Amino acid sequence: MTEQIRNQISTFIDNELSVEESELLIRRVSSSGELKSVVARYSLIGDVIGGSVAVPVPERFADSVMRQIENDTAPAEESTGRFWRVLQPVVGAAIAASVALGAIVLLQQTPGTQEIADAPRSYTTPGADSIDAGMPYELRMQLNEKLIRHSRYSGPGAQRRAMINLLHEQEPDSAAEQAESTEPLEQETE
Amino acid sequence: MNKSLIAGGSVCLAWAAAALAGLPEGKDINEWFDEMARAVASLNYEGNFIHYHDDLTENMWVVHRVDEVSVRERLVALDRSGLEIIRDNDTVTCVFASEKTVLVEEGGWANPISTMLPVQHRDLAHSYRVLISGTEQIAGRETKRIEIKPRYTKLYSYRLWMDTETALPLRSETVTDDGDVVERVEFRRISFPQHIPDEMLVAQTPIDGFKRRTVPPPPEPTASDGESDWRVEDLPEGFQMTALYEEETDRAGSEHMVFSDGIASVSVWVEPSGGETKRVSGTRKLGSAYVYMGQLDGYEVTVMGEVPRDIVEQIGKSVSHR
Amino acid sequence: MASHRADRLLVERVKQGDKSAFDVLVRKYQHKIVKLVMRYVHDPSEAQDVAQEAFLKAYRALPKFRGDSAFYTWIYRIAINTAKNYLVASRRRPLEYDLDLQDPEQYDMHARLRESDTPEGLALTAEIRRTVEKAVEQLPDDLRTAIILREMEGMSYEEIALTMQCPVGTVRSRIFRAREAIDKRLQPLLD
Repeated sequence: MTEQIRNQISTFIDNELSVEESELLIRRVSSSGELKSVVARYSLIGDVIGGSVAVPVPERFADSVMRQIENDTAPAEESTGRFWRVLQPVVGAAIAASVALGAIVLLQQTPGTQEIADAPRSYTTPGADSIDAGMPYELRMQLNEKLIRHSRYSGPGAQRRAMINLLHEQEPDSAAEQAESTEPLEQETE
Repeated sequence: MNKSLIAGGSVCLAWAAAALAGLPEGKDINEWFDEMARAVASLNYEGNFIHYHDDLTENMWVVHRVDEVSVRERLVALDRSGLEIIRDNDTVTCVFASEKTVLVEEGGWANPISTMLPVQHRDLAHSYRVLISGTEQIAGRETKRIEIKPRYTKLYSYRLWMDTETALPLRSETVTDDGDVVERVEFRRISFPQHIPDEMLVAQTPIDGFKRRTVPPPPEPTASDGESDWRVEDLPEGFQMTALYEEETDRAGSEHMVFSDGIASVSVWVEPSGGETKRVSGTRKLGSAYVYMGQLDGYEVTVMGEVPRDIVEQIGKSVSHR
Repeated sequence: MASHRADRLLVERVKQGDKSAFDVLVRKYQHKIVKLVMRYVHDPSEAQDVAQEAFLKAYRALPKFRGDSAFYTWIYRIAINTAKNYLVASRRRPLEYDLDLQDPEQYDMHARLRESDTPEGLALTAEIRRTVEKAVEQLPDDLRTAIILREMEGMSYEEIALTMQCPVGTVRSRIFRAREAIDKRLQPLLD
């Protein structure tokens, strides 16, 4: 082990080594138990001086972790992801998710400007049991935000709808909202 | 991929996979999806498609280009003048002409499903059976019609029409137990150009004077190892937890659990009551998703998913504290 | 972000399939993570098992790690979850309320205030600390200043160079030489 490499390790753990040198160094360190131990000891020194009073961990700790990783099968991709990725070209799923996230930020930052003039009429016509019917604005926004989060785990259609819902939300006037927020909605499940 | 689960795939699935022209024989549903996904990831295409849901039909145009260094894509909503979505690798730009606004999101593309737990892989064959039900012409091309039906529950079914030549899905439908179509996406015209010029991939809407907003990527969710403080006892057959994280941006103590059977997904939130917004109870429709809202010992339970109404209610009413 | 460059590069290597790069991350953070877990799981041997499990979970979840937060912050949260769940599974209460442990920086501060490990752990920890402190004391002034500004104040090389009025290359060299001198004393304790 040369002094030069230990010097590079010292610079590397301080995040001061160039990307190119770091990449070369990582390859060298990755294949040398001795160099990995240097990383561990330099890190311990830093923790102690920095006041973290780190607990000394035996050499076998990391070996044991790596042995378990070696025996571990690679994490399989979730079948949910696979299914919807297949459908991605027909809807542009991930794009819509991003749009939806963007849209909510837009709406949060500019309340009252979310109406889209040329939207098809039917977008803003809620069904009989639609979430839009008589629901406080704040709650609708919360549910839309949840739909966006949920959409990150499910199909592309939901992502587009999340975006569209957001774009067509209209903040009710405050009096109407107050009235809505003090009256319980119809209980549909009981 | 878990080989033992593949080996356990049903005879029906093996037959279904083998029946797919253009796909190697002996593949099971999981490998078969992988095959399609590879086709999707490597193809250039351009075309018009419709998106039907809630008695609405949207017309969209899409162009998608893949080369050694980048994936670029442009979508244009033909019914809503001025909505353009441009993706350049992991940067997504949305032009809302009627809002005179451009939204740019960077870094949000690479991993949209970011908090999935390292769950043991679950074979789709456990929850769904697959039938090949003949060939049909979609957008002037020959497709295989594939039906994916839930084995045990009244969850939605799915139909896919796969292009025989390229394995690209050209039409998809989500169908209720009664046969009603909840959602349909269908190419009306598609081409597979070898060369797609850059000009086709840039927004055509003049954006001078538009407001420009940069959207930061969502915060890194709190990693979790799948142990929730809450128990959801009545999940449909085949569902397991696939993600769990603390909702750091919400009120303290909130949890977001995601359950899936491999295709259908349901989100469950449990949050402490007491927010400023008056909560309501009941089940509502949000697009083609259903939302159940209920209360439990000072907590609010919200269940959301593109599954039948009965399912969100069943799940919501079975949440309890561990 | 330069401040997390090393970890980011290591994470990228792991994502590309180089498991050894994860070994480097384990060795870099093992002391901190075991220490953190010991706030929940008092027995050092159990704490090491739980910390190993946390690293294993992090490895499995790494493909989903986008790098918006620092790797350390992320593994820190995984370790806390793993430790909590270990206690739940073994039907034990946490050693202390963890409200003040949710933030890594707060935890570091907290850790300075308490050292309540086992006698063996405490003895070795104390010996390590004494050894390091003594080694630091005996460093030449310029090396001592450089390593203290780096490790205690968290300064970048450029900031240290400005403070010490010397070239960045000299800072790099001083810090390395300081580490080497301390390491020489520390190594026999760990063997």
